[in-house]
Amino acid sequence: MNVSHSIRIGNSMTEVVSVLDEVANWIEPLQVSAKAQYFLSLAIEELATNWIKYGCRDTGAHSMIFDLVVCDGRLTLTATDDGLPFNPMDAPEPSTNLPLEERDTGGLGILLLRKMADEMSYEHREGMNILTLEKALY
Amino acid sequence: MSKLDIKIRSKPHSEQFREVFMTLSGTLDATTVLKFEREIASLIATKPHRIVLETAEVNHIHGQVFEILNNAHVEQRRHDGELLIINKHEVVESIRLEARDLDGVQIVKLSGHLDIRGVASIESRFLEFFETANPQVLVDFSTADSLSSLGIRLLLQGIKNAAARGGRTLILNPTPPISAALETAGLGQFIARGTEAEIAAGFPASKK
Repeated sequence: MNVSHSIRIGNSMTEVVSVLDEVANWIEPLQVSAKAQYFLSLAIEELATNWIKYGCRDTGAHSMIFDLVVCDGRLTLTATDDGLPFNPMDAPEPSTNLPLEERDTGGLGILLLRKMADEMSYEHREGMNILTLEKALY
Repeated sequence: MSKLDIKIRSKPHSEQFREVFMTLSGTLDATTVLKFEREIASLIATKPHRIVLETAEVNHIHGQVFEILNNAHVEQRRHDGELLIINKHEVVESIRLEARDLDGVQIVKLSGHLDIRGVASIESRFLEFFETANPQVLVDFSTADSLSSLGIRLLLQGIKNAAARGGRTLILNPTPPISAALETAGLGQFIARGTEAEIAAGFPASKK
């Protein structure tokens, strides 16, 4: 099985919701594991919302591109955007073992992706953030 | 022809009170929700005293609409206006919240997507369960399909609210991927596995 799909998303939360539905419809016929489906929707939401909230340089129109490839039992997701340089692999991890009242929820999305992805790589090239995540399909 | 038809008519009661009716017919799905968001934002910008949204002829409502409506309520209130929704049609929601009392324990069942598609539509109702005196809450995740950091933040807020009131929260039977996300977020200690009755019986407030 070798299938690919590309999606361009604008910097609006409404578009994130639309893309999640589109991606769910794309991956459903491929009959991959629930874990892989969940990872894909989680990655799209966390990367897109993080980029809209913190990555866009201004309030003008910007776009992020998701390239999805299913091949050799693996899902590869590449997110490309022209926002502020941000390497999620260098982001500080939130403390998840503090007492409840001291617990902060910032940075959880990136932490989830780092822990759940099988592979993660980042480069900043020609003004673009390029993040690649890989996950086994089954 | 667009899948969503929007008609707007104004009903000036007086110079001091302007009421505007927005009537929707067709489908409010992922392809038309942006049109609806733009139209209602334009309408709010004219600062009517009341917007009446009629939805009887809408045959599908996308989950994002709830967030748009929440924002519309807030924007209307900002200039002392109001938003009324009438003739509500049966809607298709991204998430469903069902709650009931079992011997003093609130069983809150979440089905669907506890992420950007669903959190906004259940947030205030969900948190109410954790704001009583000594709240005992069992959140049933057995039919939840997804959970993002947005959903984890909501869940953590509920757990913190309950703890601050001397209460207790447990999360019942999450699917393996969601369980892994909860563990990663440091909420593994709240996961309970078993039947609803067994877990609920272990709560301090249980009458059994």
